[in-house]
Amino acid sequence: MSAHDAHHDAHHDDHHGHIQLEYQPALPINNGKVILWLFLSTEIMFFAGLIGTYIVLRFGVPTGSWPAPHDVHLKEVIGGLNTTVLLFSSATIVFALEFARQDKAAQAKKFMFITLVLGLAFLGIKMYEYNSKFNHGIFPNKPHSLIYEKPDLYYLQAVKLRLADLDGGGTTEPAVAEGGSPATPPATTEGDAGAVDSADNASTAADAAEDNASAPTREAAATASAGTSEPPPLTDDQKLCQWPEYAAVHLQDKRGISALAQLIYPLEDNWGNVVQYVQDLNNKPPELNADGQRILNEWLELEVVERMERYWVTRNTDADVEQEFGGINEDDHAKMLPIMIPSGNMWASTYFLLTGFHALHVLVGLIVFAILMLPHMTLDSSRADMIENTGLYWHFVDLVWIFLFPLLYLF
Amino acid sequence: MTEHDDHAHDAEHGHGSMKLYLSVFGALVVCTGISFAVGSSPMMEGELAWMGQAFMIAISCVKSLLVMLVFMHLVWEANWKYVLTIPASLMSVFLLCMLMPDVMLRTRRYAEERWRYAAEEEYPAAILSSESAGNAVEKTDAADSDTDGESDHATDSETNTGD
Repeated sequence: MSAHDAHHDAHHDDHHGHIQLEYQPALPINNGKVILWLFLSTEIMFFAGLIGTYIVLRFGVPTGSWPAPHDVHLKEVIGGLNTTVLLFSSATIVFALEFARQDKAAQAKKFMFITLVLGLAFLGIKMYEYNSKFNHGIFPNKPHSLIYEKPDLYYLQAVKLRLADLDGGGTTEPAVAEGGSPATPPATTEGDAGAVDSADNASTAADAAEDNASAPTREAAATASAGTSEPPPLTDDQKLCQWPEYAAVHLQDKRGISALAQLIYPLEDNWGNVVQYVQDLNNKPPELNADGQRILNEWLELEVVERMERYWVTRNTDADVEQEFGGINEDDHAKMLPIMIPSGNMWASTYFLLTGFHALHVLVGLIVFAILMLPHMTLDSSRADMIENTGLYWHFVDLVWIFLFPLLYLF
Repeated sequence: MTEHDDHAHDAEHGHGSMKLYLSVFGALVVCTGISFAVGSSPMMEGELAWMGQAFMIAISCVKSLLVMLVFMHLVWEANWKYVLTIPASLMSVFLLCMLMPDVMLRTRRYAEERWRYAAEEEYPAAILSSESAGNAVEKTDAADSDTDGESDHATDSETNTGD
């Protein structure tokens, strides 16, 4: 803050006499602080772009389709805890600055250390949050992301492919001779079954691949191959995919796929719809042939469908339902079947973008704190400027989180 | 030395007391609690959700002002603070306002038919209660092996015969 002297005066004209010009700094603060504030204003614009994007995208989805926090394993309490941790660290860094200005170096270092620990706690809690998303297949991008936006045939395909992978192609029994539709696993009939307009061929091929005990397929198996062993019975998972596909192909009813999606990964708002659908199937069964009826019966008898219905009834009649129905992905965690969350990928992208960039900024702050922790750093008044600038950066990081918390967790 | 006196003089008045910092911290925690309470309340699920959202943004602005003025020592700084902070904040707000009509409000005047082809969940109540599910189904072409979940492009390009 010392006034610089007159040698900035370039015109040392002797015949004008000595003109002493005094250097007036443009701002009454040191250069480091100026630069840091300029940097912070660019950071304001940076995060304004990201947060503005989030706001616009989040409100631009069709009404009601943004996932509820429960659907994406977002807990508001954890966000509130993070906010409190960061606010506390903001306070402690101000204390550190105050002690440094008063030349109490030991106290300053102590509070700086507390700030560092709190910042690490923030990152730790964030890692815990990210972990709970990753565990349920919620990633910001393919190939890891399991999220599908709509319960359509693409989703059904994905589920069946995943089940086929899990089975290890178990439906292809070596005893069946070469060629012939019974030998093909459900995966390769996807392409046929997906096309609605190639109805008959596809349906018989699909049925042949999936049914095991019915007479028509026995015939098909017998005519197509010379193998004597029958295809293995369908697992429950394969039965789960049977009805939605049948409904989609033959009845052009997509609600079956939506019901399947709900059984795999229940969403808060869909319960009533799905239970209604199951009850409709029981009370007002669609007109089906024998095959269709058998497929439907098998589907309705599945334990997971029953449990869902039972849970819904209990949920509506008994206030304290303890055990929630978590869906197939919850009970059978390793399966990691594709899940359907409307606007789920948009949610994942914006959430991980915002919190990821914020976490990176927190990390940079923590690195600076670590530097200040080095043994040769005495945090007295000579270091006060550095501590002040660090504090300004850290407070900005806190500011961003103050806006992110309601926007991401409470909206 | 006059500079030293100036410095000491500034040190006296260039910052707040411990008490001030602690009370600002307390106020921040209280504001967080209020924001959390509003955000978790049943109001957010009803029609008046926008009120709760506006209120929470207001609380966030209060919190950020507290942090900026007291923790970042802006009350004790000279007028340059306005030069740096106000244009940046204005630009942020303008950015949001410019984007709003384009993306955020696009679903405001959707016709019934448009809703069916927008990126929506398979059966919102409107479709379920109306005619049979058959009419609301888009016909898919030969299925590609691409299992990309974003099938919006497929929806938009197929024209449905049903109304």
